[in-house]
Amino acid sequence: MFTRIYRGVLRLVLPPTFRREWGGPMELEARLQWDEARRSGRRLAVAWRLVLDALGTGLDEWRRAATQRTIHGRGGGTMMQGLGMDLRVALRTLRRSPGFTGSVVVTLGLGIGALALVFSLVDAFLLRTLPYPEPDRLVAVWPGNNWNRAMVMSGREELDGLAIVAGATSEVLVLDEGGEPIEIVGGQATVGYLDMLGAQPAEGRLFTPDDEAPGAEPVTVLSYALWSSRFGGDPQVLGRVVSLGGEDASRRRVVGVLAPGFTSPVARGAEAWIPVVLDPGQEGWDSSFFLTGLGRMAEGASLPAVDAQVEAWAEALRAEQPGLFSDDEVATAGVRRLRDEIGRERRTPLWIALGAAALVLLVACANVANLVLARTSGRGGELSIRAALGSGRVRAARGVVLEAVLLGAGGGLLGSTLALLGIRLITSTLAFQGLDVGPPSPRVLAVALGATALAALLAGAIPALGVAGRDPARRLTSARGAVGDGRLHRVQGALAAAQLALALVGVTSAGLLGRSLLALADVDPGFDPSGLVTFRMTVPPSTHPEADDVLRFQVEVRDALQGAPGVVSAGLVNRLPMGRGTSRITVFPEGFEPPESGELPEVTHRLVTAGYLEALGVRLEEGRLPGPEEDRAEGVLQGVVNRAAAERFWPDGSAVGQRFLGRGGVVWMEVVGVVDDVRELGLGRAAEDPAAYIPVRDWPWRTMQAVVRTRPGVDAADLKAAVWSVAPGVPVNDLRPMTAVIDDTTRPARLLALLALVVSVVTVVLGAVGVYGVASYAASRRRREYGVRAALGAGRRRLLQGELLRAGRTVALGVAVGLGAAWAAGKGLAAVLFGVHPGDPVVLAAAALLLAAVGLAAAWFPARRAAGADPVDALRAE
Amino acid sequence: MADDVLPPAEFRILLALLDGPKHGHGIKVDVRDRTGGRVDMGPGTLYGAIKRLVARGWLQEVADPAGAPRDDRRRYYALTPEGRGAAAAETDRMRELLAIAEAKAPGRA
Repeated sequence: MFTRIYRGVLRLVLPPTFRREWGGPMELEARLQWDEARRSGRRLAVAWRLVLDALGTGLDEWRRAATQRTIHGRGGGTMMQGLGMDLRVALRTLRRSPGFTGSVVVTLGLGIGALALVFSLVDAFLLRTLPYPEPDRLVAVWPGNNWNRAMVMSGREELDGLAIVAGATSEVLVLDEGGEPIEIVGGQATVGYLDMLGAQPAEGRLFTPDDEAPGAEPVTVLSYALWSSRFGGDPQVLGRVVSLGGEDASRRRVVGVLAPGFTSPVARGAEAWIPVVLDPGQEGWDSSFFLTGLGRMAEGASLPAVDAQVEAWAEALRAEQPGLFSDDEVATAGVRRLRDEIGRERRTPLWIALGAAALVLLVACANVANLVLARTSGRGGELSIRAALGSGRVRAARGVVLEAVLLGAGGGLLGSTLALLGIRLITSTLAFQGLDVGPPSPRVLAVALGATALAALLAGAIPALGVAGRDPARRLTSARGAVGDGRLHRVQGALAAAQLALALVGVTSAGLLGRSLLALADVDPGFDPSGLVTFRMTVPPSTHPEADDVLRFQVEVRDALQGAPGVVSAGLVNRLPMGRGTSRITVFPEGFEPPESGELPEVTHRLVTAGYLEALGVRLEEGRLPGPEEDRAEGVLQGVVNRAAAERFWPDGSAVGQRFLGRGGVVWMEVVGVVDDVRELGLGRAAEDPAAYIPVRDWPWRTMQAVVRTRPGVDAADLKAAVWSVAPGVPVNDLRPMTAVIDDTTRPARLLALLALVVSVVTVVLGAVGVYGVASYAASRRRREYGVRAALGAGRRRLLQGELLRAGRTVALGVAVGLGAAWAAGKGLAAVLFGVHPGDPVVLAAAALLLAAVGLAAAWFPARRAAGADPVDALRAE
Repeated sequence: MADDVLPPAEFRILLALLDGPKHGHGIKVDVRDRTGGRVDMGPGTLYGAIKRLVARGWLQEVADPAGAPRDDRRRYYALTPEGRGAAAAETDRMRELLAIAEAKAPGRA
């Protein structure tokens, strides 16, 4: 692949004689360097260096070839040589006006760069094929990340269109092998999952059906990275039992090591894999839904057939297991290609960003077209003289086109450089790690080239038409005429109007996203985040093997934290509000009749220790919060529900004292208090979502989040010391203020708003420059006319009014078209807006006013200059 | 011109070939290793310079020392006597510059 691209580059940039002689050795050398780059993982840097090297050599060799030709004299006037001369003339012309050339190249470079950058992200996330064998046969199976063990077993039986049905999820594991215990990302997968993705063992084996049988010895397969970094790549690790703890085992035998480079779509970056144990005799249908279901289609199975099969399966499940899935859920049953599924979260923002980049490029092109147009018509005399001297209209037009091509090429080169730098910046700093954006794929190159060609075309073709269509005689007589070329002026006006319209789209989008952000900031999370500090800790199984040890640790840590200096209150929870992942369980409230649709009531459940709700600062509406005694109590759990749950399940009376059955229908919980709704799912999501806060004692998690309400000036070291006073060396991670946790959830919205802001500023500036350029050109053409009119007694005010009126028509047209486009763009943004209507009249009106003001202001200065022309000067200039 | 400076890349290639014929990649690797990886020539830089050296008569293509048949993409080069002379002349020129620098700023050059 790379060799082909490189060969193409050589063909583009090297003089043919040089390439025939030296292209082969260069390709070979480039291949060797590329292979080395691949081994060392410096592909982007080396690819870029190779391209620059080829470009430099090309320039050098062309220069040498040209000097030689000059020395040997020029031959007859063949087409190609004429082209060479035109090229030189075009180069010289461009060099003579560095201001014009520079601004055009920079404008185009920014536009092309933005588009190429965003498109390479789109390409990497949405278009590129997955790094798995036969990727088109991999599917994500309904209901997404809502699978449980029973469903995996049933799916294997029933779905014969799928050769492999597998589920996987991520789990925090603690590795406790010499030195301090560390938290690692673990992947939990059913047998077949790794094989389905084409994973190969570098050492040992992957999972076999024996590993998932109940009572089987707990095993693990290490990632190559973990094996190298923590076990020194020692093959002796194979077969050893290591202390690697998760929820259901603390020691596991290492049976294999994955080959390097394997990445999983679920549990991305997992450092060790453990099998999901499946017990046909035991698994209930309502056990927890924690797996993401994937499948590999069987040989000869088609997507629609498998889709239908999964639909039928869902229907059957609903019939056999009433209440397992709601009607709405069953209605969405089916499969999706894994490729479509993976980029789904990022799809909308990426397409929006791509639209924004295209917007900038279009505005840039319109701007450049206008610049070129103004310049070309300013050179009308020169071009007409050349035409009159017999250079021919085509030849004259060719000169203009060549200039445009050179400008486009310059812009394309600058843009590609910017895009490559941008990609490197993004992959190293933003949250795109784990995905190799890599060297630009052919698709990206094609888009960048296409954008360049478009830019050259828009910038060159329109002016070229103007030149080719001219009658030299008429042009010569009117070259210094008083009135501008009407047709030209109309085209310029239309381009300026288009720029304003596009800028209006940019400003409206920024306004909508900005208002959306403000609305998010105004949302009451249901608790007071200021002064709250959180961190995550995982108890190593080596020191706390049993569930009871884990619980004791949690209670002691809570007490230690509450006694730490600067702490007001503290508690533990399994998942922070607005954190990643949902955890919903089906509940059976006493005395509650589920609606007819068969949908069983669900709550978001949080496993908490006493002190959590106090620390969070949730308002207690009724009853009480369970005290520390509840943490170690026995019997019926005493927990708290939120107002939404109380109103939904017990609308007629108090929820306090009521009970519900949860956790697979085996655990009773008594409601002792009702608290205000907390935005558990995110600031932009409904608060009125039933939630239950259940004492953790029945189901202690190894990984818990501490939530600590602190006084100002608290020292993070004191908090860690409190944890380590209970159990030294327990990994404490992600220690940060709660406000940072909330900021994380709004980061995509903020990034998008920032992007829109940048786009709107760029488009407004370009739009203003466009209007200014047209107005100033028009004004300069009318100086003489105004001079005459002023001499005849026309007032300056009157002239200014006339000039502004003319500009006003352009501005009005731009704003009118822009409003329509902005309305449509708002609709496209609807999915990412919060608390603001896509057609928000305030935003639209403000954007329209802003653009009108900017447009008129840009026209004002040249108009005033023209209207203020001294009659004597203007007439003398003739 | 007496002071016609030899471009660094070309000089480095001449030096790389002082101890015997090499193919293009071999030259590149020699230069890279002797500069601790600091000078790593791209394919165009490498073959552009080789082309000019051949045109000047300082380098000539020779048969594969291992006796393998000629592969158009893997060509071996050796210094001609003129090339050897040019390398020596450039070395002298540099030595002279170095002496001046030593005399004016001892220890810094």
